[in-house]
Amino acid sequence: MLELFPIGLVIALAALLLVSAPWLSARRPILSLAMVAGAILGPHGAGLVTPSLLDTLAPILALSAGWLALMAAESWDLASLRRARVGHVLLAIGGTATLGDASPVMLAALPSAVLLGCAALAADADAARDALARAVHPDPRARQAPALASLALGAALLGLSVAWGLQASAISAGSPLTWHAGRHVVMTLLAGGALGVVYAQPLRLAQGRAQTLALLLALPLVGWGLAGLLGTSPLCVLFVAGAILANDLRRRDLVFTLLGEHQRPMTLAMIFVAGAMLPLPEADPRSAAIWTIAAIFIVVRALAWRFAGSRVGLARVIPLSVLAIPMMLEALSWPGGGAPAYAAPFILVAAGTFMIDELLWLAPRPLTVPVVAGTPAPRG
Amino acid sequence: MTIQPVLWLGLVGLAGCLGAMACRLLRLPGSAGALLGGLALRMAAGWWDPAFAPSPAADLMALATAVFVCFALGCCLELRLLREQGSRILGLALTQALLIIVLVGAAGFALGMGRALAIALGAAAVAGSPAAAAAVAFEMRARGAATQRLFALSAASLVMSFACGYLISSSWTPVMAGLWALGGGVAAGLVLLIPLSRLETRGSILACAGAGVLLVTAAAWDAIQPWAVACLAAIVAGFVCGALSARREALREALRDAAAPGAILLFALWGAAASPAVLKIGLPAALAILASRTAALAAASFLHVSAPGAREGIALLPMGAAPSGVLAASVLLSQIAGLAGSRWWLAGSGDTAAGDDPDAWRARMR
Repeated sequence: MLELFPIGLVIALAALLLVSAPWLSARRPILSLAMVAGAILGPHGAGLVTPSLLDTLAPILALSAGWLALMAAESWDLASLRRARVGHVLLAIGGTATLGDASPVMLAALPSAVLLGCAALAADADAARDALARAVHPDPRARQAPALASLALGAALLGLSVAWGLQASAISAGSPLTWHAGRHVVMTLLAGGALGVVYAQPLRLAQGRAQTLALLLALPLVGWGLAGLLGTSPLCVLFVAGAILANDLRRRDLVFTLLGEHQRPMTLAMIFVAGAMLPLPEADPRSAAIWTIAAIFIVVRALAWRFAGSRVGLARVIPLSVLAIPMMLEALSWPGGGAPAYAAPFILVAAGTFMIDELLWLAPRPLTVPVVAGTPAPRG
Repeated sequence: MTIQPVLWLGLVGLAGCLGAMACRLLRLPGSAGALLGGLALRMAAGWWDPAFAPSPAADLMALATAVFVCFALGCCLELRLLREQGSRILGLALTQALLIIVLVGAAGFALGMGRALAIALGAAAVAGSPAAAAAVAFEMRARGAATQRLFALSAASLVMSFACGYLISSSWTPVMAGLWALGGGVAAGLVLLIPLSRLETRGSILACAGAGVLLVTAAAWDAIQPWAVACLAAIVAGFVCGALSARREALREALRDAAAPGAILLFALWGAAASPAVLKIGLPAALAILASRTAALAAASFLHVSAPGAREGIALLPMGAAPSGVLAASVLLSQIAGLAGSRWWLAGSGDTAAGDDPDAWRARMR
């Protein structure tokens, strides 16, 4: 057995569970607690979550991030795609172009973030906000978002995954615009498509909830491992596989219901590890740029507090953080980077999620998302 | 070519699911199929790369999944049953432990072991597998007196195994580990009870239970018998939460539904952890241990219950240990046979709904 769990971690976990009770009673967002706890316990904090433990927990990270990538494909069936707005296409193009431009050096992430934020704003702001809420927030209000909303997130994810190929080519061939980039993209699409087609067969034959859920638990791990073997983007592979399932599967409602039902523990696990991976600025030169972006998020969050009661403030502020999710997810396996490389963009999602969580908590009434009768009462 | 830990875990899960689906077609428990699926994958990996060994991440995942399944089992245990039948269950568990030590020890003696080694073998075979009982019961959505007895007996056999630890090591350390597991389980249960009693939605309950699983796993990782300590502590913690929580039905429903697929993955991981070479060597001894253990359990149930009640003993066949080391073949064989026996016993007990539609749960969500 490895020496993975210092006694201090056991005590800290127990204390964390005890602290969560008054936190919940005060109706504070639990995602924020998970992130803060991860940061305090992580290698850059108290050091109780050791790097070797983080390495051992890598499958959980792959599972939770892959789970969200699968969920992002929920509305990528042909019927929904036909109703897509021009703004979503703009978002995808913006994401691809800006990150493709910036990918050779992560130091250029700041302009890409600004451009991608503009692209998000150019797209439909309501849809982008709903997409974000649906993707990261387990609040029942967010779960009732229109199906069309997740198109924006999916488009951004797809665009960023294309940029993954460009980044890989930039490392291997010195220039992003080589034929290697195209090969990466084609391999990613083919691998995801094949995974989706093959996986649809056992999902069709699965009997009941237990077997379906067990199959779904294995899917992100298989997809992640397959992408690792092929050197392609794991999240794009899983997203494409999810899109195939959304179109091909007779029981797609069952599959996506199960994915949505277990989104909260997956998100919490991811956010906790995200907090633990918070790097110090001096640990990696790239993280200086990421910290800059995080600082922007903090300023934006402060503004959000100011405009919490204002619909105009919410509608303009929230879509900016759309970029946080795909960047974080994709950067988990960013080519050429070890732990610091994929740890840095975690700050984005941590800050973004923290902000959304706070905003949803502060919102005086459900945003634009209707609360359906029979669902649990909203918080706040 | 080495296999990455993430890909390996994914393939193990997939193989387990396929095995479970195949076994359900044959009306066998899915967990047995998952075990065989994992074993088949491990044999294929060994053929692909003779030096292949699973990563430590697989060990940790298996332990954490077992803790989660045991926590769900403990949560589903009814305090009322323990009040009414606690002494009888303890008596039966004690009889089972004594007969297992005698009969399995005799089998070991017949196989050429020394007296001390044979007694140690018998003592090591006492522990039952609560995870196996939970896997079958949750898969069949079984609820009732027979299910409760099965849960309680498998948990009691785990307690007995700590008491028998003195016979194996001639020291009080295993007994102290058992007491530590009981006390730690109560403490973990009380800690978990505070946030769990405030949660309503399924996702939140599972997230909190996941944190509890990490807590118990971390606490037991360096213990002298990590698997037994972690499983017993998880059962006790789950029992404390299930007995004291005001929202125990929501808690039980959420955990039961999540533990069923968790058990499939657990048995797939166990199957994939077994080394084919060790299995081949230990097969004759495993058959002898299995036969003597079956006889001991059936005899104990016959003495305490009745002749038809001897079937209950078959349901308790799975041995409670990870299938590695010298007892790997015995553990695997007992689990495969015991999972089928548990399904047989529960199906005959009337605890399962006849013609249960596996997708009926969806109606409640609409």
